Amino acid sequence: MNADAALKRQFATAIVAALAVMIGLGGVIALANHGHHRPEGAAERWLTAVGDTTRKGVKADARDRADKLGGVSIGQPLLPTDDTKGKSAFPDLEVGKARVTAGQARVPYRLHQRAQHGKNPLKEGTMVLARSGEGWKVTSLDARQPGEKVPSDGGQPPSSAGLGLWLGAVGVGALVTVLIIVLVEWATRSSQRALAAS
Amino acid sequence: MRLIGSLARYSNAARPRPPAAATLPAVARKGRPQQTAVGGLPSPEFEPPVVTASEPDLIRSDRYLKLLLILLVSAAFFEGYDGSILALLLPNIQSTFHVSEAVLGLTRIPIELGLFVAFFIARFADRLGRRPLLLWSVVGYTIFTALTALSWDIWSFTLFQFMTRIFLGAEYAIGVTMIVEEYPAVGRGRALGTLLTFNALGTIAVGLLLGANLQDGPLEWRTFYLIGLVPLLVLSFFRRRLKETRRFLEEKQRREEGHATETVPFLEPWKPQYRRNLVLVGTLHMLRSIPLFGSTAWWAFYAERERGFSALQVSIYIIAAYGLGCVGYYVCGRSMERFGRRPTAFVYSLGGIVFAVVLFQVSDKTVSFFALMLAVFFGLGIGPVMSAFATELFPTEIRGQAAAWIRNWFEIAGYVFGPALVGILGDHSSGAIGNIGDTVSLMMIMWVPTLWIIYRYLPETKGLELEDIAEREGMVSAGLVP
Repeated sequence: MNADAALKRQFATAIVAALAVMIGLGGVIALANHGHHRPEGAAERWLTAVGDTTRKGVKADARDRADKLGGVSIGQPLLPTDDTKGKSAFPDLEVGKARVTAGQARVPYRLHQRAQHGKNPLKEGTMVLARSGEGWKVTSLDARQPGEKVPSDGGQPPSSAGLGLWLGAVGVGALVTVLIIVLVEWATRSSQRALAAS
Repeated sequence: MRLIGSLARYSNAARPRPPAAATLPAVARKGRPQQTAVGGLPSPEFEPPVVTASEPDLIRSDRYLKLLLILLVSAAFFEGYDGSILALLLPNIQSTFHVSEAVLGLTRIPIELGLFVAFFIARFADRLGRRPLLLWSVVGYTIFTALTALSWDIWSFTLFQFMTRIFLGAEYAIGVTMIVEEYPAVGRGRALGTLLTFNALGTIAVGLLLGANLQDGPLEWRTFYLIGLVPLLVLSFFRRRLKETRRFLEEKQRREEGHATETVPFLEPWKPQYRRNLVLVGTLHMLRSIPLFGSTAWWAFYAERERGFSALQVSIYIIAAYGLGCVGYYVCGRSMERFGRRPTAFVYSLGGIVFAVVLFQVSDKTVSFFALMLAVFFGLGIGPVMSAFATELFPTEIRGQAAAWIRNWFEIAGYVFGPALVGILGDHSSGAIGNIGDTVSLMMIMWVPTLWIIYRYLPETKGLELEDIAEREGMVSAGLVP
């Protein structure tokens, strides 16, 4: 009875500890994410929403999403003239790294329009975004300028991890490993103690 | 003597064992020094308790084992099939029910929680038996899969999928337990490999049906769920030929004779004698599943948005590379029998990490294809050996429940948090890293140091019958071997 009660207590403690770790980890992630408002992300979401305006069942939701990030009408030239048969207007899309100058950002894009027959036509260009509060809104479409490329054309990704993060990952992995070793050793010792006492 | 008494309770050493392993000490049986569970170091001189009880027939005929495998692979195939429909047909389902992205995201939470709730079903396998639980799990998931096809709105769909997930999760855990208990040491790994290969083939089947545009038919995505009724037909045909595992029957008899308690308490696997292995195997499952499910959930998005793959290329890559990579499950099953559990787990983990990092870092599409294939081969293909650790290391009376703890608590935690972490940190707008490829790679890198745990702490169970393993693990817990 005592052993069972002790086990229940230990289990409850472990659950509380696991929840505390999860909450702590959530706090760290929220802190790390805080303040990031990349124009590339806003541009990508806007393009996705514009593409969804031809999708059956979600047209209204897509228009709402696009309006919050710049409006559907700006994206009209990107939409195919063919009937998409209730599917998204863009089967795939990609954005590149933004060039930010004085509250304005230029984000290169590359997408395919959905065609009923034959190959899906390729559309390339640059979205122009302006700051809106803490975030960004698409204001117009433009032709690409020299050096504006998406990653698949050899351009830079919108963001990438620095050396510190790579080294940090190894460190966190090592820390987790040590933690598990401590747990396993504790479990081994606790079982030996309990069995010796039985 | 107290220790030996405790050990006997752990290992059920006093109960009958298969003829091949019945009376000889481990050293004599193997013809070489016995490996300990810890680090594979030679054990001190120790002779395990001699078994004097009568020897029952624990070995099933080859014919029955083949039938069992056929039954279980058909269940595993449809488990993989049903589990993949939602992921691959989500946009179609969203369109039918006219729901926003936000609502769609919200419904995923209760649906995936079904796998966690499956724990409460799967744990009954130690009390009621493997056979009835497996049969009811198949019936349950088939019925709710069919009901999903009749959903009238997103909330009825969510409820039916939640219920489906509960039975799917239970079926998987019980299926693996049955294979481990019924197959002799020689052939167990291969059977596990075959089982999980078919699980993966279920996913490929969904991809192929999508390629055949089944979703564009009159019933749209609902047709996929109606196909999920097939297991019920297979089951109704073979139901009577499926037997209870002999190890469970033996355990049941012990209970009826008063040698063991009738019910298995909820926290039984956490008791000191089992705790070490539960913590060890459970945390390894979780550490593997976080980057693994993070990468599998996000690869298609990464390929399209960060590497410029077309939708068609993504489909072809998934079907071809995934199809070829599935061989990894089978090879894993063979390797764990030939080279051992620990070296197989080590090599597969290392391969999974290396090829996943390559996959999420290179832009060349040919290299990506082979990296995807090998990442699937090693990363997903490690399943059989991980399933072996989750079941073999625990005695029959708690095997089902221990496997359920590992699968439905530890591994499902990775299933839920892995994709969430990648999505939050790699979000192109607000993520701290802002790049899906780098986020997955960093999570894979974090997995590297855990290779040490596999090398240093995981026990080797190659060629050992379950009774031998239980006996030896009991010695480790009792401190009789390091």
